[in-house]
Amino acid sequence: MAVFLALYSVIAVRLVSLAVADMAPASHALTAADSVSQSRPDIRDRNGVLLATDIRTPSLYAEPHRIYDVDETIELLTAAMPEFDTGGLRAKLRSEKRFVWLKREITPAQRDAIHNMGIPGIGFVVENRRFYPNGGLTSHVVGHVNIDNAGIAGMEKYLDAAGLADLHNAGFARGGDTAPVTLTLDIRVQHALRDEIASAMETFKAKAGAGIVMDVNTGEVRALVSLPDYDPNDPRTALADDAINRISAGVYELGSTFKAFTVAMALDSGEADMRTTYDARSPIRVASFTINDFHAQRRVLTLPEVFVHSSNIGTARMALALGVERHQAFMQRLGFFNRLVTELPESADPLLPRRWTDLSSMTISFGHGFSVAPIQAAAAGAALLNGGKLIPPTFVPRSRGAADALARQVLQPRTSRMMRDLFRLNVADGTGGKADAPGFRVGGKTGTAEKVVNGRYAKDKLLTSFLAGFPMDNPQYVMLLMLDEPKGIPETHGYRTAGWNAVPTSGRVISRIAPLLGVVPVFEQ
Amino acid sequence: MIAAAWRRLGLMSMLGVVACAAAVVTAVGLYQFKHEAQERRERIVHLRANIAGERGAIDLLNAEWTFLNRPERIQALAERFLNLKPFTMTQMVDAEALAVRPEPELLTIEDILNAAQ
Repeated sequence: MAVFLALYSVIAVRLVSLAVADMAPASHALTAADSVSQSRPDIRDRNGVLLATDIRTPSLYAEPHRIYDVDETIELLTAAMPEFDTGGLRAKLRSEKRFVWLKREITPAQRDAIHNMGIPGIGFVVENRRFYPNGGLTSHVVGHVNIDNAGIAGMEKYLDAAGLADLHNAGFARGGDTAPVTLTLDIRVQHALRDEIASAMETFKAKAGAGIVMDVNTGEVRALVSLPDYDPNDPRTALADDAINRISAGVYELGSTFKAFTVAMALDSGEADMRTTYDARSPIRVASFTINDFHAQRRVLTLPEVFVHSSNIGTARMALALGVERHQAFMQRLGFFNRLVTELPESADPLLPRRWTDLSSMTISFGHGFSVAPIQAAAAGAALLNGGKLIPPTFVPRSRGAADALARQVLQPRTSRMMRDLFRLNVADGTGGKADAPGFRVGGKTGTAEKVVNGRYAKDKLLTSFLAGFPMDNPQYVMLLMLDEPKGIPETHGYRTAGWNAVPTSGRVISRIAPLLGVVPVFEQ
Repeated sequence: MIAAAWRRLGLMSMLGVVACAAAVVTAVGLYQFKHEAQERRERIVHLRANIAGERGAIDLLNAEWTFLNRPERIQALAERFLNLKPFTMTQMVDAEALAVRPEPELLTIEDILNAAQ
């Protein structure tokens, strides 16, 4: 009797527990595919246009110990995919390993063909593959990944460093459950900039070209182009020597563009104003070195004239008047002494003179003997125009408030107002004349630098640049555009200086991008 | 007759019969439910796999859509096939700068009925 009761109660308890117990949640079994290649978040531009996404592609593998007939297997596989090398295939299938990849990333058609043959010991794993629908357009910012979908350049690498890799190692972030990442780039602006630089490179037979467009009040980069670029869908192309990011990972002597900083220094010191004059009647001789003017005026120039005629003699005297120490302090304040670090892993240290003498000060005043990354010059240029705030550039969205919290006041607002007037003056009737996009009140400073080849300045190899801002009555955007070794052409009467190539290109870019950026054109009646 | 049978079996045996019957009924019922749950579970797994597949397909189509909408491609197509030019800045004007448009006269149902009479 007791035995029966005990048995019944066991059955009753089991019944209750079966009825009550939770079932294991319904989900896929964890497959090999989930652990093989990590899924990455989509990367989008500020308007939500896809810049990088994962697509799932099958990869072919073999388990050699489960293959009965190696020769037949090879025959079938090569029938489906003639590109297989039989020797290599045989070695793989005969190997002692329990698992070998035969081919990563095959097409769905190939997958179906092989699947239908039903070969034992051959299987597929669906892997995530990174796809960049816009190809080379944003390659230098977005970067690219390796075959295991790990970021190795640009924002892709930044995302991994910022914690995505840890997430994967912990087993999360598998099935597209990661939120998309939004960048500050605007694909339309990016395209306009790239398109114009590419056609300028063709017109002026330049070796390379680069440009950056930045919001002066938030430091958000709206476009960054460095040509030649590469196709992130084919990462091998990134290895080409000339495929570097010139804006953040290259350093250049920017030439006269630097005069904007020298003039700002003179104005900010309070020792010079718009009426201060500088003697540019004769070249300055220091030791064996002569400082001369390209557009020589041979007279005493006022400060605005020094800027508009881009007088080397004038800016050299400006720097001398303040002395080496104050020049150094000012350049340091503008951030030119340190590497500028953004989210992009590709960055470069500026090249400073080993010994900063009076002569160094003079040459640096007109942009020689001091190399900086163009993104640094753009950030400092933004400070000249936005009221004197140095804001670190960024590729992830940032509010005005956040930018103000990060900003360092490096110039008096008054200096910035005067710089706006000078920038505008230089485009209204100076070397930047061809940049005047009607209605957008463009201002800017040109630069034509001779490149250093084997330690000497090469007269025939120029780097032309234009630092521009718009609209000058209330600057919103700063742009730096440069061309590497542009040639003189009949349309420019053989001239190769910035005013004939970098400047008109900038003008065309601005008239295309300003409406996209929401800048309203104004025409004086 | 049944009563006689009851009497013959005795109370304990009767309890045993009832308990047996109950056990059989619950066992069958439980099997039924469990089977049903199993089927639903399989269906959920199947649907989730389908959803994942569809999501993958949507991602692929989105990627393709973006690929086809590359500004580079659109610009080339526009230059080739559209008889349009980029607008110039002088064609842009603030909405408030436009002359005031006269209010359009709206007909009401009554107006229409009155006109018909």
